[in-house]
Amino acid sequence: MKNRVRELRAAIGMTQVECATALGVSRQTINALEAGKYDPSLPLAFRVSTLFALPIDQIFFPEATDAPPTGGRA
Amino acid sequence: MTESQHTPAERQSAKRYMIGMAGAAVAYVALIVFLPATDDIKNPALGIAVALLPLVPVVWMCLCVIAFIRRGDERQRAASLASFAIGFGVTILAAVTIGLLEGAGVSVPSAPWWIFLAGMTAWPIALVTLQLRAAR
Repeated sequence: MKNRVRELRAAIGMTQVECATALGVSRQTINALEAGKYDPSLPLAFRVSTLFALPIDQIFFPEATDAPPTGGRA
Repeated sequence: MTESQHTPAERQSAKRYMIGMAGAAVAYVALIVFLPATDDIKNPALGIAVALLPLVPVVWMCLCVIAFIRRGDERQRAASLASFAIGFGVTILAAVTIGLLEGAGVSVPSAPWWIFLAGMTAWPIALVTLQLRAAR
């Protein structure tokens, strides 16, 4: 899933560590999130939404290649 | 001075983990060094109790690991769970391999410790690999 976390964080001059502290996660998780290596849980996505004062669908963008809950297996 | 790459909560968690593990490790070494040899103990029940006493700091270490994982965030907990699963799989594989070898008449000295070593090697390797994959 693509997201605008890096862009939004940079826009308010926040470091990854500051962002991680504000969201209650590790810096590595912010890094993984920004790199598109990790899709957050719904509670974390809502915390990101609150932090940047934007709706979730303006921060996270699903892609056709995103795995469905089955992991893509029948 | 370079900026810290960790949040205050991460640093606090790591500190608590290191203190807990160090305490458990010191207790383990002290028990191994200072406990009497079980051969010198006449009472068999007491001998077994003394032999198993080092399990106490090992359980303490396990509790430190569990507490550390519980303090982690959702991605870290998922990576920990996956690494435990890989460690468990390797442990089972090692146990079955040694069982089959012994069934074929091949004696494996210190077999339980080889099984332990296999699991305890696979687990951190899996954890580091998963963390690095997420960090790339």
